[in-house]
Amino acid sequence: MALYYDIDDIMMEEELISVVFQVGANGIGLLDPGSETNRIEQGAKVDLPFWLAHELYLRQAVGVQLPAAYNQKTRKEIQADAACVDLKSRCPYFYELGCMIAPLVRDRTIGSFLLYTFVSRYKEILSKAHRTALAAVPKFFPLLTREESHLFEAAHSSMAAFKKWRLGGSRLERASVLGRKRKSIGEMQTPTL
Amino acid sequence: MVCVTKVAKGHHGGGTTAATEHYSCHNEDGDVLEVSSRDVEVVMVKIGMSCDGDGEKMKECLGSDELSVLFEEKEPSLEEVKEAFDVFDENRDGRFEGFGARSFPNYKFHQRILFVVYHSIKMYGRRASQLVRELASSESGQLTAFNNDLFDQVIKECNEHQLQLQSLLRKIQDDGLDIQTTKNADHFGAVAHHLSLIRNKRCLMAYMHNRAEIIRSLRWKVGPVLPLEIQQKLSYSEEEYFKNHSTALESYMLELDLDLTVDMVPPKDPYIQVRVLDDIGDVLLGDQSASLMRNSVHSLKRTDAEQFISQGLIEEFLE
Repeated sequence: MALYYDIDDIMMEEELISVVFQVGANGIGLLDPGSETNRIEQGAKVDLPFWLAHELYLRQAVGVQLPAAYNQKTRKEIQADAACVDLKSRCPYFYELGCMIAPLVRDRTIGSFLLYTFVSRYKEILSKAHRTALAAVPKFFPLLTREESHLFEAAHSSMAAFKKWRLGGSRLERASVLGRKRKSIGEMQTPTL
Repeated sequence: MVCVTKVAKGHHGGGTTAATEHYSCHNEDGDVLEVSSRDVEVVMVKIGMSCDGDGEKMKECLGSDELSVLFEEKEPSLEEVKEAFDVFDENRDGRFEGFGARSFPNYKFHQRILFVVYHSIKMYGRRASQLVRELASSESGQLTAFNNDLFDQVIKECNEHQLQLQSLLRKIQDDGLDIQTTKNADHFGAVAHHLSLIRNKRCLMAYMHNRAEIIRSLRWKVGPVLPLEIQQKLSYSEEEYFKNHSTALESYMLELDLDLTVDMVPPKDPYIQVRVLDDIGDVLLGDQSASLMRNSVHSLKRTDAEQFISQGLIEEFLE
């Protein structure tokens, strides 16, 4: 319930999972683009968002297949050089979804695989976050999953705060919600439609 | 890459003067495939859209109105349709294969329509997730304009799910089965619709909740009066919410006789040097009035200056 309003949790559950229907289902043919009638046949393979796949799995209506992000190919790539693997394009919620999917596919190796991936990428993220210039977005940033980019930003901003503290500066600042760019008075009065 | 073009043709007869939209899809080979209402009808029936089987009526409501409405709505945009096609067109050669596509005589074309319709309907929480994605992609603490259109569409979608859910439940009852214990195909269809409803609800609630959080923080950061550019981003009920929150906070602070919105760290000096960035004019600060003209430098009480700084009207002047 604590995560009910959590945006990241909602977006994580939107990730598509391949499932195989163990039963037929009427009235939801729309979910299966290959379906010719308004029903899904037993044995049909359909991509469903995780929130639907999970609930249907609990009702024993579908069998869940391991998403490609956790297959052997990805594991080999991670083993070769974890920091260079583009996890974001594979699944932006790699770790969160991995934890959710592990009990569904009954694969006991996923847990240790996720841990290994995180640990080997963590050091790289942290050291790069501390070293990169403040305004620059580093080259490897698009490779990071959502969780990793939060981590990166946290490290980055704490470094920035440290530098500011050391050099001294104004405590009071313009509210960030007003945006970075200052607008002239004329612009402010004409509503942007 | 597949292009979709919209050709409007004048339509007379059938008592309607609305322009009929013919959707023609053509790929790089140049073969043009037009979509008639008959084809749409076939597909609509397949995906279970309600249709009373009256051919003439169907022609009118889908051929001229609904399909064009689908395209006149903000979505699917041409980009989205293309995207949908690209998903289908796995090897990017402008042809669609797989998905049992060959079972139609005119399969290429059916698949296309199916995809246009499929992506414009966007049921099963697709739209609602777009709404949440909007929040996720905006910078934290920043407000985007309230997406009234999408919000209403999600609610309409909920109604559609509700109708389908009820019709499935009715069917179970009509078959003389017990709703509590039956686990047939109708049951699982109903479950999927029910889950979609719950999902939509969660997305809508999260959208409102997260916005409300930002709106509350505005009162603390910006002050009781919001600049116009932020006010335009709020919906009517959000404006009311902001006013109510502001009033509640003010009456509480009045009771405490303490301004809670100022900086929590005690200042070293109660006065602060500031530079004025905009012409503010004469303002009453405590017991004295000051004329804050652009680029002038003043020494103000810190508590007086804070609200102007957070509004971006003056800045701290550091030597």
